[in-house]
Amino acid sequence: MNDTSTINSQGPLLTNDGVPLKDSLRKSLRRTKIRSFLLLLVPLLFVLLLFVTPIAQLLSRSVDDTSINIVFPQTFAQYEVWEDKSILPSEEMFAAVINDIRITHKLENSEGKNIGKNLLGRSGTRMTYEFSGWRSLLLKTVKEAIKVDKKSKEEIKPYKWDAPYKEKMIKRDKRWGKVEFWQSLGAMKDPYTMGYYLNAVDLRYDANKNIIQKAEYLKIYKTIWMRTLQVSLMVTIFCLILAYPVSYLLATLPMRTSNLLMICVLMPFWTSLLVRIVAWMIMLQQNGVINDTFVAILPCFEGMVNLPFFGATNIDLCFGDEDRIPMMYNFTGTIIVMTQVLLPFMILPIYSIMKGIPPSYMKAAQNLGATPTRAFIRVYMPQSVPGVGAGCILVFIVAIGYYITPELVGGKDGLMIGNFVAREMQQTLNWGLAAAMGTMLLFAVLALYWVYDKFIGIDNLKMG
Amino acid sequence: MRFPSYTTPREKLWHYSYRVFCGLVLFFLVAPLIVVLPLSFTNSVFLQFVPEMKIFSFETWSFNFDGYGTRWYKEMLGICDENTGTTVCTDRWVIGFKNSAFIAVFATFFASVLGTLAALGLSNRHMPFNRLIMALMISPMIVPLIITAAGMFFFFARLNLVATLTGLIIAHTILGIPFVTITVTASLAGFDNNLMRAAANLGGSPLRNFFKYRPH
Repeated sequence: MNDTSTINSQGPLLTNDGVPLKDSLRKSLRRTKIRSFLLLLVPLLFVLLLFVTPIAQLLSRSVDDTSINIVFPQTFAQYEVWEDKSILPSEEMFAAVINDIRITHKLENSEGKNIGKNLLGRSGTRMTYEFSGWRSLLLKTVKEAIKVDKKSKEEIKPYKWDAPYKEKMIKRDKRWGKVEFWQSLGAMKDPYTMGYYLNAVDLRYDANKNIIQKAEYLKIYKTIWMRTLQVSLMVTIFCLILAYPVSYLLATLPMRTSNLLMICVLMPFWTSLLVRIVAWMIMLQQNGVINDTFVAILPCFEGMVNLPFFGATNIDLCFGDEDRIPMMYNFTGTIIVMTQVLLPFMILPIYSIMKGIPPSYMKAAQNLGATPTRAFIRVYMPQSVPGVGAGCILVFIVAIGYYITPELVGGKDGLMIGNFVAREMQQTLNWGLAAAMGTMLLFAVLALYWVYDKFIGIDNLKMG
Repeated sequence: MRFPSYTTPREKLWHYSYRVFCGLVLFFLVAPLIVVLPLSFTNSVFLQFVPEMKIFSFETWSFNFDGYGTRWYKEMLGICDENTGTTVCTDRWVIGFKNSAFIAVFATFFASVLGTLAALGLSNRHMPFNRLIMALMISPMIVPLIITAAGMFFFFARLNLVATLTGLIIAHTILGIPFVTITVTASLAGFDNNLMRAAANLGGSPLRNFFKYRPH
């Protein structure tokens, strides 16, 4: 046998078909890379297009202020040349407002449908976020600046109002004479604003675009952020306290028993969240199972007792109907339900790490003279730390963005930031603020996700 | 439970209290699910155990099942019952079931296919940006639901997909992909690629090898 694959001491290593081995390997590596890439292409595009793009667009809403700039270009141009911002602006600025309103009012989209009125209404809403009263003032002024014929829906021309506008506008509504309204335009004149973010942490711009604290009665979000943090931390700690012993039990019991008990962990994990919440309502409400049980079995003792030192005392140790504990629709409810819902997220990672700790280590430690407690603390616990870390970060990440549970069982004082994002989305329709709060939440979560990946690795994530 | 002869009473006590604690935690996990079952057979309109549902009465020393019935199951299936009188005949629950099943089947299928493809692609160690792509594929599980929902709402509104089955299937597919990716990646981690090489060496096409020799 003397073919080309035998080692040639002169040249490079060759394969069967005479290509240098190095090239051949490189080619095959490139081929596997291309194959992997092709496999990845579809799922990656799917996630990028239908998950990452929508979220990116949502985030862009948190700084976007272009729509109001479309409506009031002349006004904002006049704002730039308004010199002394402590006195009322000149006639030109008043005229610019009216001109902008009249131009916007006629705006049509590509299909010839009027979008101007809608735009003006939305601008009014946007302006109210900066200074309350703007919306009604603007809509009132629109009605004055443009008279519409009721039958033909056409604007009546010539306009009833004509230049100069300043005195007429102030006479029609005193608010035009207030410099604070004009000053608040400064916060809106750029196409991008940080206003929503400031709002989300109870700050705002003043007339000169300095960042200042909001008035005390308007401050709500700082409390909510703190509560979100508090709930997440408490739930994480409770989960850890409950999960660690159970995971140890599951990891050390014989396989058959532990599999049976594992069902107790996995069954709620795979059950619909809504079902679990309804179940908790049955348990925790005023007439719920737990309160009923308390009333039924707790001893009832009421009467005079002769106590040493205190003498005759009236003692009321009765758990009657009026003593039923409110455990639902408040902070307590949120904590209890979230702990139960997230407990599997803590048990599973700790269990999977504990499963890999050889029991012989504990035996060796005890053989060397350690008490069981000491062996557990010095030998077992340090090895279970990765699981504990994974579980804690996972539970915290999921808890911090929770929405459904607090919404249904949180009442007033159990609400978290997720609920306020939903509220701004659905009720107040302040999408910019919702997006800003969502962005802050998202970055908090992504930071924790990064920490998780750095120290534990997302490929170690296991779901039962 | 048998203890070694040298076990002290304190250790026994500790052992038992530990077991009891674990039992309570496991009970805490399953208790709500157990409670739902009997309540689903209630005849009352309240989401609580009303006095009529007491099975055994100590006063008359007798059983009584009057508080129980299949009223809500009938309502759920859209069956009208003249006798109970209160049931409103509606098929909205049935529609809900159908929608759930439809969405679940399609979302599961698409999530399985896409998640498996992603896991296979990511199993190549030489793939550049491996970790980043993995993080991206798992992110739908990590990003708070409310943010995903809000983002998709605005995005789908532009595509006229809001409140359609297609939109729901897409959304649930995306939420399902991480679970598939994680599971398949985990089982691929223990897979010996030499098996695939051997199969290829013996003349199998890649697709055939994939279906025949990938571990279950």
